[in-house]
Amino acid sequence: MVKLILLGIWMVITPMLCAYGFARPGKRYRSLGLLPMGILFLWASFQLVSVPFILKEADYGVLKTVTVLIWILAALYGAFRMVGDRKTLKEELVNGLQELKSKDALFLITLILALGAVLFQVFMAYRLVYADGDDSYYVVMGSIAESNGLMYTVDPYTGQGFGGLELRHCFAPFPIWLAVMSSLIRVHVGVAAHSMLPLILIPVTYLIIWKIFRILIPEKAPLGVLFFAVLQIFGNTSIYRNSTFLLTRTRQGKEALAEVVIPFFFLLFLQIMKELKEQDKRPRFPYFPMILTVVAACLCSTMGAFLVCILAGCLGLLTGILYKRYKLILWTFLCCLPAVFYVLLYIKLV
Amino acid sequence: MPETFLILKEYFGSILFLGSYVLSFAYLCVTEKKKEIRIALVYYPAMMLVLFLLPPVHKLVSAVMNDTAIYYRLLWLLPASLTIGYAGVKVISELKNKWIRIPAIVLCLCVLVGTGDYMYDNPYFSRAENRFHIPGAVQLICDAISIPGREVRAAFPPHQVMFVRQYDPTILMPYGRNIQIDGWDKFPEQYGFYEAMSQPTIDCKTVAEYAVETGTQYVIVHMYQPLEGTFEEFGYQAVANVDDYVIYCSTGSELFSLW
Repeated sequence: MVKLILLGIWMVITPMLCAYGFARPGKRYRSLGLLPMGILFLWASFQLVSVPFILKEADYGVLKTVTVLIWILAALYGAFRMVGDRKTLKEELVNGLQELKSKDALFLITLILALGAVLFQVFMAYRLVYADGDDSYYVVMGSIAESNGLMYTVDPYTGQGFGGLELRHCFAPFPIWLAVMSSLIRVHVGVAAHSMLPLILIPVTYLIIWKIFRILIPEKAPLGVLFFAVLQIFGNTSIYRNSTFLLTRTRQGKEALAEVVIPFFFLLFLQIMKELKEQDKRPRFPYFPMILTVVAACLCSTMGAFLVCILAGCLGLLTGILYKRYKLILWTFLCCLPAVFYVLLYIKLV
Repeated sequence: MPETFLILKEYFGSILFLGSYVLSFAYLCVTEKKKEIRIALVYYPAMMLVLFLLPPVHKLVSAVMNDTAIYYRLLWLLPASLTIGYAGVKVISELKNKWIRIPAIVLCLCVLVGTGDYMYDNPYFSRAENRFHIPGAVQLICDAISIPGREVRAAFPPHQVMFVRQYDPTILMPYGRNIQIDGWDKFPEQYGFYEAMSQPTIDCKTVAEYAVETGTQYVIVHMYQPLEGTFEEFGYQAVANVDDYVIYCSTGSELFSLW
C-alpha cells in the first residue's frame, strides 16, 4: 500500500504539479492534460540532464539527486500556483461535474464501458507476465545503475564490463529514468518496471487518446476511446504493432514512444489545427509542449529522435501549407532541433 | 514484392485488420469534410505511407540506425487505430434514429473483435508468480546463491537466462540472452558453454570444463535433466535442491564452504 502511495506521489501528483506551472486554468496548454504533459516533463528534463552525465561516465547517485531536485522545484512551483488558483480550480471542477450531468445516457454508458476496458488492461498488465527477451537488457540496465551506480558501462546480459560506454543505447536512457523512479517508489527496478509502470502508462495513453477524440468528435469521445481500447485488446495481429507494445512491453522506452509520445505529438498538431480553425483567435505556436515531446522522444528510444522528426516534418508541412501559415513549418523545424542534435551526436559517436 | 511492402504486411499481420483500416481510410477520404481531420487522418497517413514504402527511405533509415530490423517502427506513426475508431464513431453519429445507434455500436464492436486477435491469448503471456514477473524458481535459486555485497557467477538453464539478472544484477553469467539473439558468430567465447548447457543430455565433463575456464562458481540444472557422467567427478558438488532445480557449486571456490 505504501508503495502504491509513493507511486501516486511520484508518478501522478509530482508530474501533474510540474505541468500545472505552465498549464494553469485559462492557459492555452490546459486542454492538453496535466498528467501526460507532466510525464513528458519528467522524461524531457531527465533526458537533458542524464545524457551528459552518462557520456562523462559520472556517478548515477549525483544524476539522481540533480533530477529529483529539478522535479521537486518544478512541482513546488506548480503547487504554489495551484494554491493561488484554488477558487478557479473549484469552479472548474463544479463546471466539469455539471457538464457530465448534462450528458445523455449513451455518452455515460460508453464512458463507463471505455473506463472498464482501460481498467481491464491495467489489471491484466499487473496480473499477467509477458516474457519479452528485451527486458533482460532494459530492466537490467536500470538495476545495474541502482545497485552499482554504473550507467551503460556493464553488459546487462552477462555482467561483464563493456570496456567503455555502450554508445548504441546510451542516448536513450529510459532504463535509468526507470531506476530513479524505482528508488523513489522504494521498490526493486524489476517490480517498478513490470508491476508498477503499466499502472500509470496505460491510463496516460488513454488520457491522450481521450483528448484526441475530444478534438475529433467531442460529443462521442467516450465511444471513440471504447473502440480504440477494443482495438488494443484485440490487437494481437502482429508483434510489431503499437497496440502489442502497449499491452506487452509497457515498461520499455519503445512502448512509451509508440503509445505516449507519438500520440501526444499528434494531439499537439490537432490542437494547433483546432486553434487555426477558430479564426477569431490568433493561435500561438505551442513551443514548450512541442520541445518537451521532442526531447522526451529521444529519452524513450534512439529511434525516437528520428521518428519524431519525420512526424513533425509531415504534419508541420501539411498544416503549414494547407492553412497557409508558412511560419509554422519553420517553428516546427526549430522545435525538432534537439532531436536533430541527438541524431547527429548518435551518428558521430556510434 | 519490394521489401517495404512485406514489412507493411507483417506489421498489420492480418488481412482483416489491414482491410478495416483501408476501409476506414477510404470512408474518411470520401466523407470527411473537416480540414483538420482530413489532414490528420487522410493526408498525413497517405504521405507517411508513401514515405514508408519508398526504398531509398528504407535504406536511409536503416543506414542511420545501423539496423535493418527496426524499420517497421516508422509505421507507429500511422494512426491506424485512431482512424478505425473515428470512422466507426462517425458512421454511428450519422445514423438519424437514436435507437438504431445502440445495435450499431454493438455491431461495430463485433466487427472490431472479429477482425482482431485477442491479445491475452498470446502464448507468451502467463500468470504472474510474483511482482517481479519472473518465474518463481528463478527467484528462489537467485535468493539461494546470492551473497550481499559481492558478485557470484552462475550458469543457468537456457530458458531461465533472460530472467536472472532482472532479479539480481549481482549474479554474473558466463553467457547471456545475447547469445540467443545474435548466436555464436558474435559471441564465440560464450557460445561453447551455452551450447553445452543446451544439449538434451548434458555432458558434465564439458560443462565443468567451461565452468572452470570462465570462473563460474555455480551450475544450475533441472533435477530431471539427463546427465552424462556426474558433476561431482569434475569438481562441482550438489549443494541445494530448489524448486526442481539442483544447484552445483565448485568445490574449489571459497563459496563452497558457505554451504
